[in-house]
Amino acid sequence: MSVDPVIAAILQFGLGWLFLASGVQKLRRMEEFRGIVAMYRLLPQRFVTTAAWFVAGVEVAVGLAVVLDQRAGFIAAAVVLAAYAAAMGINLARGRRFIDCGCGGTRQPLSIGLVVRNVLLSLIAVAGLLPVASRAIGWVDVVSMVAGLVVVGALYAATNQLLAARARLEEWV
Amino acid sequence: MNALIVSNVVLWVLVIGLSLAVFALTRQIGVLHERVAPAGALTLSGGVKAGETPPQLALTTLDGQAMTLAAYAANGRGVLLFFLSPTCPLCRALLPVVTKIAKEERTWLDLVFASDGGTRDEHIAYVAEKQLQAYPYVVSQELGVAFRVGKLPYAALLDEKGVLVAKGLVNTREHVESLFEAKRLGVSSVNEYMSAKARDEEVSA
Repeated sequence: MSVDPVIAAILQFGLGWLFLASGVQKLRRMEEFRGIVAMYRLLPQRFVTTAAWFVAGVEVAVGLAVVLDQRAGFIAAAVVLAAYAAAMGINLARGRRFIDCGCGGTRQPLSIGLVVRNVLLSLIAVAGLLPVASRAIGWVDVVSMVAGLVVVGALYAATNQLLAARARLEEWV
Repeated sequence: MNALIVSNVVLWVLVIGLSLAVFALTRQIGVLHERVAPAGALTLSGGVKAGETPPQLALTTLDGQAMTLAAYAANGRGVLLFFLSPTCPLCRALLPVVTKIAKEERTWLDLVFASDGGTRDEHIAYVAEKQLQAYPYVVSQELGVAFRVGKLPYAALLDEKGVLVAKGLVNTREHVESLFEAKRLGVSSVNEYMSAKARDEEVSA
């Protein structure tokens, strides 16, 4: 099974951009992100600062590796996304749903929707490991790729906003 | 072939337009949620609900003493949690109001100040300036998140059993008093009061 180069490129650049953007945002707002890592309560308090820097650094590194089409980058991306899903799942199971998910964009509490989102993203990262079919690339393919990226980005952002809006609606008195 | 390419490009343009429109719509839903959020001592959203016991967080006051909200309930004391920030002018204006209410209700109530950001020095300077040394003052992001403090000044009232009576954004004395009114009437927020009223009207209509 092989993937068409246009689809592979959308997947690669979309995933790489996701990691770069979220890693850079975490680095820029490290103080806030540190608080979020602490609230997940998965690590002893004294490792929290190190872990926050480590996670943000890993995100940037994975983003670069994926953009540069390194296989290790896709594997790491899938692992990181699955780990986030697990971290959210653990806290949901503990009943600590009120903590901020820290998933960029609007602040929102944990929800099963976010876990599903991350599992799907993780599977997409795995799909990036499939071999890419080779064929001649024309300008139409470039149009498809750029337009595809714009649409994927807009729909991903819309999904996040809808998840945040749904969380707010559920809490409406 | 040309016709196919043209149709493909046209479709892409339309799909981009549509997905941007969807994005804009979801964004407006978010903005509307913020705007529609009722003014007054109303519960904005989420966090601990009235009638629930807040999560037991180990807190540390500014002067380094460990405290929990449960300790107050264990002694049969209610708590008025007042969330503020040294940079918030309305909080400043409300300080005399909450300290006065705390004095009036001192037979059963303790006042606790809380903030979820800023540097330690800022808070220490603020406590000195406003002479709040008599009250516990906690800086905890986790506490703010637990009560889902969205806007300041924000207050939460816990009864003698440690159960949340009411919470909300408070801008005036009336708003703070409405929390105590909620305790008296057994309604948790103006939102609940309004929807109960709407239900009553439906029944009588």
